[in-house]
Amino acid sequence: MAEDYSNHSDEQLFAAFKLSGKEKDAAFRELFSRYERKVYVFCLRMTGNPDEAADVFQETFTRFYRQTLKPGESVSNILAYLLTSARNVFLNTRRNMVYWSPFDDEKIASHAPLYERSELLNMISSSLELLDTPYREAFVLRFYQGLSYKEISEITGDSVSALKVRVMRAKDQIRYILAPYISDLIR
Amino acid sequence: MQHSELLHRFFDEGLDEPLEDVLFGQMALDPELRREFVSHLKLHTIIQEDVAGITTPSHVSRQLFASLGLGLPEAPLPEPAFGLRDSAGAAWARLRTLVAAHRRELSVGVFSALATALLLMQFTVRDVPILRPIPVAMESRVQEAPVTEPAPSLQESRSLTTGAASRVTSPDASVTSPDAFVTAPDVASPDGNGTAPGVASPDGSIAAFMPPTADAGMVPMVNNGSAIAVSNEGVTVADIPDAVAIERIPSPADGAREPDGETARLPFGDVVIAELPVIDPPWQFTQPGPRENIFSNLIFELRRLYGRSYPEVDQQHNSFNVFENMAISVVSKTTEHHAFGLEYGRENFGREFHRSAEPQVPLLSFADPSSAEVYRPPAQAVAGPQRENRMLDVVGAVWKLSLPEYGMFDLVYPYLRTLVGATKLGPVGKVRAGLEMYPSNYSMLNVGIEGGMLRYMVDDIPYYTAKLNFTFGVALAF
Repeated sequence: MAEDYSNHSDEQLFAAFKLSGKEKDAAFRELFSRYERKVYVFCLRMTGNPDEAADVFQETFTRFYRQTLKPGESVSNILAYLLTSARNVFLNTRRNMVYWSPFDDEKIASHAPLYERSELLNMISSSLELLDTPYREAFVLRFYQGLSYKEISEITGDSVSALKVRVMRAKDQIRYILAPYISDLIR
Repeated sequence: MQHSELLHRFFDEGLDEPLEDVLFGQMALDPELRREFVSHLKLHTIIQEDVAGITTPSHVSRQLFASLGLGLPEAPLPEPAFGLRDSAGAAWARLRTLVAAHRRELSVGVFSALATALLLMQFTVRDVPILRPIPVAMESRVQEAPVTEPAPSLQESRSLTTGAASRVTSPDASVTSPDAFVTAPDVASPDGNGTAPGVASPDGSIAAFMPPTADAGMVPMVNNGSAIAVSNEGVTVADIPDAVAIERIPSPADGAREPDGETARLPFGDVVIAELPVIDPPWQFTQPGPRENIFSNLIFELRRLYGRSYPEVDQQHNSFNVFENMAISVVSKTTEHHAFGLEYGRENFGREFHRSAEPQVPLLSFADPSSAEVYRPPAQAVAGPQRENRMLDVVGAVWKLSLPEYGMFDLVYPYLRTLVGATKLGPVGKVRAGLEMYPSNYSMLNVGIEGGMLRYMVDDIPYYTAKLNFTFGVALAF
């Protein structure tokens, strides 16, 4: 019977994951259960599309499963590793895509006013899609994943100050897009 | 550092205490900064809700594990099963929350429902018309029947009649009375109901008071040496073969009147009283009321309303201020209890609803469409929550129930009143309960509490406004 890894640290789990047999599977399951939701949130909010998010999500964990099996491979921060991997997968999938989403008033005005809470949540997803990728990933990693600027910097390779500016601008843009709906909530 | 940037940092990484003081000090002075603060707060709340609502689809996890050659991931733990007690507690908590949130509408609704129930209950009770003596000529239906046969048993005697037969004896059976309303002291019903009104006529022509109610259905008829059966068709002895004198049926009154144990055999015969079936004429709107002609039954009422509309809307309205929150009605009194009529009034009804941006409703109408475009309010100005305090014309049908039997001090009398009507916005229903006083035979004052509900549509969405009024009215009758 496989050992219960629920009380193990990430390092212990990763060490067990480097083993073989049932220990490996059990450790992977435990790591998966710990981070699958965070990774999926990142994938969904970066892609804005559940199908594409599922593809990025599966590719991320598949890479994690296979690459960490290489001898000498070590991972100190598993979440950062997974998010970096997800970001790379996402960028790879988008690299050759014709993707242009102008951020203009016309597109904002095309949205009919929505008052249901669930529709408002959809609106924020749509507004994220309007952001450029660097702004979107900084915003998602900061406010959806709750990562520090230093952790984000490790994932994206950008400086902390640049990330702060991106997050602030992304937030301003989203507030601008959602202004009618947010003001409706405030009233 | 700009204040907006301070706000960003406050929500992003937090601020040092001195900077926080600066930010909040500035917010105390700057309403725009306060709005921006709330905007940030709402955005973070929405993001948290968004994150909380995202879960990895199970089929995605299964596909991943299958592609890795691993067994399927364990199914997530099921939701903890709550017991019946927990469910009941949760339901009770939800109910309390709902009641607290809608307490005003509920109170108006309960008040209206109670008053309506009272109205309906009273309406099902048949109104008692004014009692009038009905002379009945019975001489042709009365025949002599000699007492020759032994008396039948009580059961046999009862079986002779269609109803619950009463056997009545009288030591002074030859009682006559010039008064048509005589209570015969010697007539008793076997079930102890006491005496019944009756009349005896020595010449065989009988005038009887025949009230058409069940309580007064015992009609004693006494004739010299005759057995008489009274039915709703009159008096006959032909239907009672061999009716003879029988034993007297003791009654509670007998103990006082016959202390010596007087034998109770009739010297002249038997009187069998058949209970009259209730004559129940169908109630009609044209049933005459207490007065003689239709004009004398009309009541004109003018009343003033002091209303409170929920949701509370205290905005001023732009209507002309004549006949505001007043109503005039005309009702026709069809019986002592019921009156029907019409009412017209002008009354404030607060409205609170949510207007979508499209379609926009022009506030003013213009002959030139381009002018309408100029004066058309922007979508964002029209969209969103709207509050109004409309002065509406209310026209409706009135049903009033007076309850004179519950009068207090012979001065004030309760009444209930309901109105079903319409406004240009939608249907309205009102129920009123109150007291009325008659200073003279031609005037009336009343006060009351009135609960009402207006239904209206905005953008195909129904809304309801409950209203509670205090009313004071004066009325004239002729």
